[in-house]
Parts: sequence; C-alpha cells; structure tokens
Amino acid sequence: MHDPRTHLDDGTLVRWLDGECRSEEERLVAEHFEHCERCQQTAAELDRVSERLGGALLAFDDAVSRSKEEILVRSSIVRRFFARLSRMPALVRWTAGAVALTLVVTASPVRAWLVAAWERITNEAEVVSEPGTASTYAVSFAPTDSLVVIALARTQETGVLWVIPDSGGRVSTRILGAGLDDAISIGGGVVRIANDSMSGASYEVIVPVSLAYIEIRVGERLVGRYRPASLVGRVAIRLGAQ
Amino acid sequence: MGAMAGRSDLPKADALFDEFGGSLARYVARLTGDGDEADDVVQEVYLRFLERSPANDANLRAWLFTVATNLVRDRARERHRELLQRQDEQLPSTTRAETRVELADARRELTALLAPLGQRDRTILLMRSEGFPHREIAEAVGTTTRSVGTMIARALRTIRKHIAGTRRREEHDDHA
Repeated sequence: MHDPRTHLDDGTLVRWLDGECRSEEERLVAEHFEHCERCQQTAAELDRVSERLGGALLAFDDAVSRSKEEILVRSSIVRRFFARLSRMPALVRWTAGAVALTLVVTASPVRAWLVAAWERITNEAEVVSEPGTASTYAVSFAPTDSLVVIALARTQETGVLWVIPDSGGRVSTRILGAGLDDAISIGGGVVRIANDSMSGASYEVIVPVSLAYIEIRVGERLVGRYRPASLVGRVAIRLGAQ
Repeated sequence: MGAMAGRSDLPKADALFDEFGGSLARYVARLTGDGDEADDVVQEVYLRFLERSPANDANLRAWLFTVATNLVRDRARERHRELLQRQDEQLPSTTRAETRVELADARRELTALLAPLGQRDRTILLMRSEGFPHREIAEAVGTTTRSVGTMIARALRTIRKHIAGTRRREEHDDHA
C-alpha cells in the first residue's frame, strides 16, 4: 500500500502516464496528486521529455519517407516526359515521335539493345508474384551448368538478395540499384552457384520489394523473370536433371 | 537447422510482414538512423522467421521487434562502429539538397536525444513509442514488467539531463 506522505517513484509515474496502472494503483496516484504538486510536476516533466522525443522521432520518420519518395519521384522522369508528350497536339507528337524513333533506331547500340529486348520478350515468361504465394520454376539442369540469379534494381535503392538452398546455408549479395525508372539495369546483385550436385535441389530466392525484377538463368539460358509484389518477394527454383 | 524448414510458414510470414513490416522498418530506421539499413534488417528478420519461427504464436509482433533489435546490435558490432553515428555519411545524391539537409537535421536531433542512452534504454523507449505495452517490452529486453516503468523514467531523465547540459554549453558558447 502506498504511503501518501512519501512521493511516488518515477516508475509509478511512467506507468501512470502510459496507462499501465491497475485500477487500485490508478486511484492511489490520483489521490496522491491531489495533495502533491511535486509529483504532478515530475510527471509533467517526464511527459515533456517523452513528447520532445516523440516529436524528434516523427520528424525523422517524415524526413526518411520524404527522401524515399523523392528517389521514386525522380526515377519517374521518363514517365512524366511521356505524359507531357501525350498532351501535345497530335501532329507535333507524331512528327517528333517519328524523328526521334528514326534517330534512335539507327544508332547501333540502341539497335543491339532492341534486338536483345525482343529476344527477351519472345523467350521468357514474366511472373508477378502474389502475396502469400511462391513462384516455382522447374528447370532442366546439366552438371556443367551454373545457376545464376540476377537482381535487376531500379532507381538507386539498395537491398540484399538471398539465395537459400534447401540443403542449408545461404548465399547473399548486396544489391546497388543503378537504373532509372523502369529502365532496368543490373545493379551488381548477381549470385552464381556452380555445383555439380545441384541437380534436384531447391532454392528459395528472397528479394527486397524495391527491386524491379529477378532474372533466373541456368548458364546462359534465361529461365524466367520474377517481379515481387509483396513486402519481401520470393521465388522458388526447383532444379531437375537434364 | 534446415534453411527451408520453415517453408510451410511462408504464407504466415507474408501475412505477418504485410501487417507489421512497416512499423518494424520504422522502428529499425529510428534505432539505426538509416532507412536503407532498416530495409535490410526487415529482410533479415523475415529470413529468421522462416528459419526459426517461434514455437509460441502468442506474441509474434514482440518477437519480430526483438529479433530486429538483436540484428541491429550484431550488425553494429560486426562493423565496429557505434550505433547512431552515421549522420556524416553521404546521403543519396538522387534527393534534393534541401531534402538531404532536412534528413541530416532530423537525424542529428534524434541522435542527440538518444546518444546518451545504452542500446537497452533506446530499445525500451522506441518500443514504447511503437505502442508496446510494458509487459511486451519487458519480454523483449529480459526484465520484469514493473521494472520497465523505472527504466523508461531513468532513460527520460538521462535525456533531459543531456538536453539541459547541451543548452548550458550553447549558452556558454554564445556568451564567450
């Protein structure tokens, strides 16, 4: 039982501030406050420091999310450019488009890129994951092949790509996104696993949501592309003997 | 421990992270002062959950926060650097200068308040700011429920003392 002649200890005051007191303790604190200004002041003081900390935390949260939003907004420059273009008069739009297309297509690096992109489109299936599901690839696999998992990052976000064999252990690599908007680029997130005994093994690939795609290759052969749609995307790869 | 032993937990993990992933990332960002680090830690917690999900489902949220706290501590130890000493690191150049300044200022303010505290006290205060009841905070840091109030009060008093000391130094500098 609390002696009303003694001051409340700090722990009790914090419990009271946090609504953690049981009803009896709550009543005792209220009674004590009626005649003890000092304890009221102490509680108010603790509350003020809490509020100051709370304010600093919220300001930090805001600054972090604004910084992240800005990265995303900046990465949508290309999208905005095309949005503006679409608002121009049709004749201007088509003329500008034709000139730009001619210039771009005739440039040899662009032509090479277009050819490669076409090959990708015609040779692969894109899988968009649903939260709570895993996409599974059944892959024929020769002993001389190596499994290659490539993280294709957009913007300049970072993350970690994990490849987890069911035999235990993990392989991970740091991803540093280098792309802009949906112009995907390989940002250094490549995991290669070369192992003769891989046939029949299963792998789980864990990717951060900020990534645009995961490419899974066996040797040079593209097996599939994966786009995460939940907080942490994942894809299962089951390798079968060729 | 098989890395895929928790495969049957995948839907549960997804649901759990859909619900608490955001607040977990916010908590870790506050603890480390680094939003990117927070994303990495959340991923790692997800993996830990798949590998070693707790036998008791009664309080998975507290479990997630405890694992995240331990990971932050381990990562800091591995890198041989103190927590919350990252305000001078280069911020992403993709953000505007004023955004970078704003983030640096907010981080400096938060660092100044939390710097005088040990990791346990920081954890307690940050879990409290996430709305955890004292009982769950006590479980996370390994103490009794009743002690949590005392520890919070002590941490708040330390912060207050630190603020007062800083203010005195600033006033002294102004007069000098």
